[in-house]
Amino acid sequence: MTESRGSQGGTAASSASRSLQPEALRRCCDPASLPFESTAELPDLDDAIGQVRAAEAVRFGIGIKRPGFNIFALGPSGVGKEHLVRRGLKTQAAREPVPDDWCYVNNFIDAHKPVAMRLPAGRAMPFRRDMERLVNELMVAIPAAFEGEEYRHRREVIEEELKQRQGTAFEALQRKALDKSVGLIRTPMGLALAPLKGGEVVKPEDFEKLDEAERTRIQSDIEALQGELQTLFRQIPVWERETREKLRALHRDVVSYAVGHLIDEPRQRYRDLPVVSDYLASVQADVIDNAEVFMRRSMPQEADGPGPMPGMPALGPDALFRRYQVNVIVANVPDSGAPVIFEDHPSLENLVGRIEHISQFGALVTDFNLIKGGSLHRANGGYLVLDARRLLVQPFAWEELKRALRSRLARIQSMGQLMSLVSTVSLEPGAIPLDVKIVLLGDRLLYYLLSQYDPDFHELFKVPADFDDRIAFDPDGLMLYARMIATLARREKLRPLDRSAVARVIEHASRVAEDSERLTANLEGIADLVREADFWAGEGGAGRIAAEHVERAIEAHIRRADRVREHVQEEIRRGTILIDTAGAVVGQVNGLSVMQLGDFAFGQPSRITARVRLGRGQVVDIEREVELGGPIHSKGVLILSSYLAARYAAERPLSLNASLVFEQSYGGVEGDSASSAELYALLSALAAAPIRQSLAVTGSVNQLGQVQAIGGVNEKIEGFFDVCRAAGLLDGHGVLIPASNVKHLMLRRDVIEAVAAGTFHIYAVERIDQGIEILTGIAAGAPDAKGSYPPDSINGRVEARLAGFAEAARRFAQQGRDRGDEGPAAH
Amino acid sequence: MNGKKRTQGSAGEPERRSGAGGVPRRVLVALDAATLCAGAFDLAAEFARLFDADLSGLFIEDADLLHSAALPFVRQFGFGSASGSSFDLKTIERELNLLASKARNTLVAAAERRKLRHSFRVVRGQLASQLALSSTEADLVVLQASSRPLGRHLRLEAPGLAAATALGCAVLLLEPGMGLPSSVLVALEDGGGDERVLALGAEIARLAGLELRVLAPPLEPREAAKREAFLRKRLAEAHLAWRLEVLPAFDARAVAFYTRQHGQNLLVLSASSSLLAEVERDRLIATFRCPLLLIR
Repeated sequence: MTESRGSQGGTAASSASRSLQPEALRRCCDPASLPFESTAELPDLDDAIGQVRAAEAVRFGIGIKRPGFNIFALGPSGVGKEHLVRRGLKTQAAREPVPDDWCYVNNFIDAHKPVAMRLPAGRAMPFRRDMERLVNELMVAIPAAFEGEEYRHRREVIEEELKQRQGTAFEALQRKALDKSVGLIRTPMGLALAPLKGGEVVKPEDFEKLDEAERTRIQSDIEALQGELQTLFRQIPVWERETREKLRALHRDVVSYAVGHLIDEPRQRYRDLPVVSDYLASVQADVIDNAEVFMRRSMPQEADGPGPMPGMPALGPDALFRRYQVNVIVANVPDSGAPVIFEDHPSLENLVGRIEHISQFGALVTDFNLIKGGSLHRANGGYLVLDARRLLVQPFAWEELKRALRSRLARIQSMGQLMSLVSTVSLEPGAIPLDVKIVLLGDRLLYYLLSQYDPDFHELFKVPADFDDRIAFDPDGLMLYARMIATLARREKLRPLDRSAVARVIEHASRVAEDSERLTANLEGIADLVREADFWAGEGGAGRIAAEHVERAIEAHIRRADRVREHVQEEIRRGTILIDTAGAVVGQVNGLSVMQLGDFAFGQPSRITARVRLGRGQVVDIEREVELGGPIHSKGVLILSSYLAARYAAERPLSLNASLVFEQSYGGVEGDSASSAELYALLSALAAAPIRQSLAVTGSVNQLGQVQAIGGVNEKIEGFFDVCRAAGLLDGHGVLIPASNVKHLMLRRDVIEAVAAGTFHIYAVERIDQGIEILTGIAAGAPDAKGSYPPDSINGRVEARLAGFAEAARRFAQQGRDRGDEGPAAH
Repeated sequence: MNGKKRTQGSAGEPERRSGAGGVPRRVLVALDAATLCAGAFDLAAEFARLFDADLSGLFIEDADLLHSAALPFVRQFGFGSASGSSFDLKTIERELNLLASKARNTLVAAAERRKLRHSFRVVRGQLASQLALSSTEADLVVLQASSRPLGRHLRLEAPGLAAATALGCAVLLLEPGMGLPSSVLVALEDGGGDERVLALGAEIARLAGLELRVLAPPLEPREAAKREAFLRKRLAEAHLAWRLEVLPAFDARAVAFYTRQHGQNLLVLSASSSLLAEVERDRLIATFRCPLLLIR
C-alpha cells in the first residue's frame, strides 16, 4: 500500500498545492483561434463527425449482400445515427437496380389463397389498369353478346326443347290415360288421375254402381298411370339439369367469342410475361364459366340483385367483378434505384402487411383486394430502417421480422391469426420472396440486451455500427464541429453564428460531454442550442448569432428546468435541509450528489454522518438497511470496512460498529461517488477530528485509499458553490474532487471567478490521506518503521481508537468466558 | 250451374252493356284452383278502370276435382316430391274455400284501390260450362292461359282454356307475371273482325295513354300509303300516338318476333285471325310473350 506522508505543519501547504488554478477549471475555446468570422464562410459538412468506426461499419453493412448481414446502429440518441444511415443508404440505393413490382390476384382454383404475382418494375400499375379496362369492356360485350338474336334463338331452342319434352311426355300420358278413360286433373297441390265418363270425372255414386270387375280394372289402370306420372315427375328434374348444361354450353360458346378478342389485347401486351399470360388464360376460363354474372349486372331491375361469385364476398354492387382486379402491393418506378423505407410505426401490420375485413350484415368478409402490403414489401429489394425500441414494443413485430428474415419470405398474417383469435374467414396470401437489408437504430442497452437474451439476434444482425457519444476536442474536431454548426444553420435557415458564438457552443459541447478534452456527439442537443440562440438573436434584432445569444439560450434552458434545484437550495438556505457551510463537526461531512431531471442535472450537497462504537467490525450502511441504498452504494460502504480493517486493524480484530447515513435522504441513494465522503466521516468520528463544513467532498474510494473518478463533477461543484454563495459570503469554501476528474472540469464562469478571487477552492485529491488533511487541518500521518502512526495524526488517532475498541472487546470477551457467556468480540 | 255466393260492390245499379267502339263495360276475371293468380285480378282491375267498367270475379270450384277427391283410390302427386298423398273431399273443399277466400280478398282489394264497382262469385261445376254461362254477363273475360307452374319450366294448359277461346265475348289471356303493357299492338289483316280490333285497340291505347302500333302484312308502297291514309283518317279523332308497322311477313312467327323485340305489349287480335290458327292453343302466350286480347 502506498501512503502519502504528511505532517501537522504540512497540511496548509498540502491544501494549497491541491487547490486548482482557475485555468484548470474550464477549457476555453478562444474565438480568435477560429479561422473564420462567421459560419457563413464555412463549407457544408456531409459526414457525421467523429463517427469513423460507425461509418465504416455502415458502409460495410450496406455493401455486403449476404443473409444475416443486417445492421444495428447503436448509440445514444442525437448522435446522428439516422442521418449517417440515411445518407449511406441513399448513395448505395441509387446505384442498385429497381426491384420488381408485386401484386396479388385471385386464385381461381382456391380463392382463399390469393396468388402473388411478380412483374418487372413499373408494370404492375398499368397491368391493374388494363384489367380494369378489360372488365369494363366485358361488362358491355358479354351482355351485348347475350342480347344478340343468335343467342336468343339458340336459347329458345334449348328451352323449347325442354318444354316440348315435358309437354310431349304429359300429352302422351294424358292420351294414354284418356285411352283408358282416365283424366289428368289439376289439384291445388299438383296432379291427380281420375276415371272419366263422357269427358267428366265419374261421380263417386256412379263409380259405386259399376261392377266389381270394372272398378278393379279402373283402379288398376289408375295405379299404373300413377306410377308413370311419378316416373315422369322424377324425369323432369333430369331434363331440366340437361337443359341447364346445354344453356351453360351455349353461354360458353357465346362468351368465348366475346371474351376471346377482348383478352387478346392484354395478352399481346404482356406476352413477354408468362405469369401474366397464364393468369389471363385463367381469367378467360373463369369469365366463360361465370358469364351469367355479367348478364345479371346488365339487369339491375332484379329485385334481389345478383349474388356473389364463389369465394367472393358480396362487397357492393361491383363485388362480382372484384375477382378480376389486380391488387398492387408494391409499385416501383423504373430507374429510381432500390427502395429505402423508413418505417416510423413498425407495428406488426405496418411491417408485414395486413388483411382487412369489411363488416357486412354483421359478418366480417374479405377478399384478396383487401390485402395491404407492409413496409417489408415496399422495402423488398432494398433497405428498411426501423427504430429498435419502437419495433420491440410492438406485439409480435420483432418475432415476425425475424421470421421473415430467416425464411426470406414476406408472409402476411394478422395478429389475430398469429394468436388464433380470429374465427372469421380469412385468406392465406401466397408468400413473397424477400430480399431486404434491415437497419435497426437503437441505444446500446437494447443492443446488449438483445445480444444477451435473443439467440437469433447475432445470426440476423451481424453488423453493429457503434456510434460514439463523444469526439476529440482538438483542432481538427473543433473545425469539424464548426462546420457541422454552419451546415445546421444553413439547412435550417438560421442566422449564421459568429466565431464567438461557435466558441461558446463548443465550450458547451465540452461541458455536455463532461470532459474538457472531448465534445459531445449528441448533435441534436447542440442543434437545439443553436436554434434557441437563433431565437434570442432574432429577439435582439441581431443579424448573426453571437456568444451572448448562446449564453442566453443556455441560461434560458436552465431557467426553464431548474425549479427543483431552486427549491432545494431554498430549503437549504431556510434550514429545512440541514447543510452546514461553516464551522467544523466531528463525524459529519458534506457529500455531493447529482439529481437528473429530464435533460437537466444539478448537484446538491447532502449531510453524511458517521457514528462509531464498540462492535463486531461492522460498518452499517443505514441506507442499505432500509433498502434506500442501491447495490453500488452498498459496495462502496463495504469497501470502507475493508479499508479500515486492512489499514488499522490488520493484526487484531476490528471491534468496531459504525453507522453511516445520508441525512434527510428519503428517495434512495445509488452510486459510490460518496464513498470517500463516508470514509472521511468515519475517520473523523474515529479520530474525533472535526471536519470543516465549508468544504464538500465527492469521489469514490478503493480498498487502497485511492480516490477515484466520479461523474457529474461539474454539477456537484456548482451545486455546492450555489449553496455556499446563498448562505453568505464565500470565504475559504471549496470542494474536494478526485484528481482524475480534473480533466472533466468545465465549470461555470462565476465559479471560476470565485476561485480566481480565492474565495472558493477546488482541491484535486488522489488519496484519502490528502483529503482528510484538507478537511480537518490535521496531518494524516505516515507509519513509522514499525508501522505505527504518529499519535497526533489522524491515522494515529484512528489506530489508537480501534486498538482501544479491540482491547475493550477482549475484556468483554474474557468476562463473558469467565461467566460462561459469549463475548462481543468473538469476531 | 250451382251458383253459391255473390258479393256486390254497388247493389241496385243497373247492369251496363258494351260502350262505344265495343269498349267493355263488364269485365269478368274467371279463375279456378289451378289458375288462381293475384296478377290476373290486378290486370283485370286495371282494364276495368280504363274502361270505367264493372269488375266481377268468378272462382270456379271444378266439379271434376271434387269428384276425384271423393274417389278413395285417387291420389294427388306434387311435382316437388313426386310422391302421392291422400286426397279426400273434405280436405279439397277446405282448400278450395281457402283459395276462394283469397281470390275474393284479392279482387276486393284491387277493385277498391281503383274505386271500381265489383262483385265476386263462387260457383261449382264443370269449368267449360261455368265459364260459358258466366261470360254471357261480361263483355271481357280475363283468363290465365296456363295453370300455376308445376315446376320451374313446367306449366300445363289451363283447364278452361279450350272453353275460353270459344266464348262469345272478348277474352284477355294472360300468364302469371305479366303486367301492364307499354304499347298496344293491333294485328290487322283483311277480314271482318279488323274494324272492331282496330277500334278497340285504339280505344285502349287512348284511354291508357299508350302508343298504338298497327301491324300490317307486307304491302306494296302504294298499298302501304293507302293503308296509312286510312289509318290517319280512322284514328284522327282518337288523338293518340300511332304508327304503322309493315311486317316482312304476316304470320305468327313474324308477329311473335316483333312482339318479343318491342318490350311489353298488349296484342289485340281478332278471334278469327289466321295467326291463331298457326299456333297451338296452349302455346299462344308462350309464342307472343304478351297478354293477348281476342276480339269477337
